[in-house]
Amino acid sequence: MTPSRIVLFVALFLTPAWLFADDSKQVEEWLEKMHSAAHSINYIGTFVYQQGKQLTAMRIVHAVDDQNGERERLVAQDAIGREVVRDKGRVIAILPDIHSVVVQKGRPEFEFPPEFPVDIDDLIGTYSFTLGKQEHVAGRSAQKIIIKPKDKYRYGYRLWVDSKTGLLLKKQSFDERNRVLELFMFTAIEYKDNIPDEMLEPGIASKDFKWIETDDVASNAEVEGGWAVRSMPAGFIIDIHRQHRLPNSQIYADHIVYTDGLASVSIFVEPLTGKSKKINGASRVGVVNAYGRSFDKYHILAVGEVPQATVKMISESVYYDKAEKPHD
Amino acid sequence: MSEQMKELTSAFMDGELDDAQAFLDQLKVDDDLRATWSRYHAIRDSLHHRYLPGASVLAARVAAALEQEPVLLMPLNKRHNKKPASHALGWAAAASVVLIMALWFTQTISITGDNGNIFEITSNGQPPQATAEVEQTLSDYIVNHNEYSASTKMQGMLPYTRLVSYEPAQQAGAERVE
Repeated sequence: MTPSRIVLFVALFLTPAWLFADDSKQVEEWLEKMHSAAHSINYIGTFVYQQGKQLTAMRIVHAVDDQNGERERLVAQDAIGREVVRDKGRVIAILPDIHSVVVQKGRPEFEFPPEFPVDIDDLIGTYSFTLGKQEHVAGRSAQKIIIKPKDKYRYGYRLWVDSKTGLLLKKQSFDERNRVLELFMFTAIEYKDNIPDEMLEPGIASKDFKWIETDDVASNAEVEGGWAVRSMPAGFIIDIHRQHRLPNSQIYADHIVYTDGLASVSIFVEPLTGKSKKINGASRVGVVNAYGRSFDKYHILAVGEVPQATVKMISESVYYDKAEKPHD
Repeated sequence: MSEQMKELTSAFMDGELDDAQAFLDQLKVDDDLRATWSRYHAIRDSLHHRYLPGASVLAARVAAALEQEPVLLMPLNKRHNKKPASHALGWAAAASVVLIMALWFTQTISITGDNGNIFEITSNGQPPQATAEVEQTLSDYIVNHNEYSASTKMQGMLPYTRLVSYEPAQQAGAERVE
């Protein structure tokens, strides 16, 4: 045995057993439990969200019943009080700091609850899965799950899932150097049988707020072809291609979503009108990265909770497939 | 809100600020600073399970009610400035600050788990945080993206925390990342 072989042998011997463990099947079961809990449980909770140096406390109310379906309300507990309500196929974002209310159509519910998007067998090429210890979050016992990316095109996640209910209680996203990028953590959670309607009503928006409404149902129609992407990080596949109308406008934009099952990237393609503001180059809001550029008479923007390298690679390789008919 | 003011706010809350009076004077006149200060308190209370929803609304209502109050002009009562009493108060305040710091420290360690400091900023190699104008333009795309993203299917409302958690325009714009 050569010295280097001995070193390798000793290193293997010393490597902790969990490095070899394949917990993917167990993790998949936990993720399924988490997915189902996210859409089926009534609860009221307070949590903190931290990103960089920024920390925000928020309150969340989630209700599901036969009459109203799934309703959710999220309110920042700060002096500004930004708020998002999802209800009856609409998303209402009240943004007092910019005196705006943005109302958009939610994703049409083809099925409820939405399909479980993860197929662990497809993911083991791009992520590794480890089942962690039982820990405590917000006074509840929680199962820790570690999901590590195998390349630099996606983030890793640590998840803490309520051992009993399956609700996600804490989540950290981290980059390839294991640095935490954002943290979400419940500080208090109450599971409820019923949630009073008034807790799910959007807060009162001032009359002088600008209402930005988008999308009619027809514009959410799925489309095929036209725009395509030349290079895509491994594991990302097309999830949906739709057209939607831009806010307060008659112009239609293409929206193509790619996902690896855990992370998603949206590509928006809009005709350049000259009037509207466009984002060019790299920008970032928290862990959401965006990369925009002009292409012929169009503007292309890739947005997603993925590293900058991913949105850049995708945005720069969008092209128009001439074999397909343009959609005007 | 500059980085410096954020640090001052933090130091003030930890009782580590030498010139606390100057900070208090600034707090009286600076709406942004007051917003930051109350946000930091909400977060701290939330971390310590002491959070009272609606407290900021109550504070605003008290402030509004005080606006309506007539101003009473009367001479200052000099006897209130007795030295020994304020000395004792000072020590009591210092002791509670130490206690709060200890609690804060423990809490910080426990919530960050295996990843060190909660205030760690990890943006090397990333573009700077979007300015207010860019963020405003992006927020519409982000709502659209969220609705169709895999993480919304998995975690419901969670991706929207990024939209709701937002610092006032000038703060985001000022937050440059090396």
